[in-house]
Amino acid sequence: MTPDERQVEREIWIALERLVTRMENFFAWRQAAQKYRADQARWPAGSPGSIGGQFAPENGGTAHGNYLRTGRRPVQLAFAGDDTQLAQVGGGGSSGGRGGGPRPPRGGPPEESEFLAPLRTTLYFRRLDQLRLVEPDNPHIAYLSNIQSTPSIEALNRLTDELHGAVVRRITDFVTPGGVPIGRRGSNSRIREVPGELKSAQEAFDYLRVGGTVVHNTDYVGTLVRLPGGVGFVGLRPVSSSGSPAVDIEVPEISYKRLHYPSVWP
Amino acid sequence: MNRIDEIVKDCMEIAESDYVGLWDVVSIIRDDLGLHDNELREKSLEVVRGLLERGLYPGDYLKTGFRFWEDMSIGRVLARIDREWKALGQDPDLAHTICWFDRRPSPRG
Repeated sequence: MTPDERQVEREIWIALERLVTRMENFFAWRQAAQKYRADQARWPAGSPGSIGGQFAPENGGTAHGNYLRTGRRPVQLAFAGDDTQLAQVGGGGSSGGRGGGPRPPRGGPPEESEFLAPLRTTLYFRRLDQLRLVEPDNPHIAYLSNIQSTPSIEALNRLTDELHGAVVRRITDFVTPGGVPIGRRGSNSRIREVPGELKSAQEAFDYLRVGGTVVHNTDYVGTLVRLPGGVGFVGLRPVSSSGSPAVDIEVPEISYKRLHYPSVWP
Repeated sequence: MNRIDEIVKDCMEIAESDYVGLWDVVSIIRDDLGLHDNELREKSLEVVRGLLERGLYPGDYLKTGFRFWEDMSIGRVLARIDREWKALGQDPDLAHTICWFDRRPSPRG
């Protein structure tokens, strides 16, 4: 396989990951909606035990799967009264046509996402490999590796969370070893200056990029890598405007955005 | 000093040693103020206005060097960034930063 073919394969994997995530979110959303409808049919409005509505978690929920990722504010869901329509009703607890729709088919909702199982399995083991690279001594690897059947959406999300945390820990440990920020303060508190010029910058970049994928479709001046687990990006620019090499870090959990490696060091 | 002014000050300090990417502005606002979507874009444009008023200029950071945009009037720069941001379909990041800023125009090569 040529380098170009490998790159095409990587790009396809990234696109597939995004597609699978979106589809699984949709199916999780639909399953939660069906469950809500079944609950409404079982406990109509005004009956003992009836509730005011189900709400999506705040701020998009987090990464765990079987609920609604519809926005940053709680969103109440209610059905418009037939089998297919779902109305979103903001705020309030009393509106929404409760109790109108028929019961769902006996046996619960169909397993809509099962046709994605092979992709999910492949993604799961790919992320497991990434976790092994990023944090070889992660205590959960043995548990996460013990998969007897197709991993569920929840299992994939748990692994993704673990991978996300591992990448953030790896970067945090690098830029604040032992809790002390690396190097010295740069021109701003978000920049650290580190001795060693390009060689050290390259070593830092090689350490931080582990498990990531090189981004080719970009106008970034240098080498840019998308970090695993959806954490963000890390890039190496051999020359910044001040002349020194720079490592760019775009990770929300990391307050340092740049590492500069000036040629002059006291 | 309000938070937007503080972020403008941060970016001006970054500009003392490096180009400032629009991704810097966006990530700082998102991290510090917790904003997303339209609010994030609007506040980012406020910060960009502050950077332009304090002497930074937008441009494309290319392998051949930094190329300043032809039209650097504040209104047109903000309109262009707003337009390209919406066309991008996502928030600017390191891979798609729309533009960078530098302190002074240099002869175009």
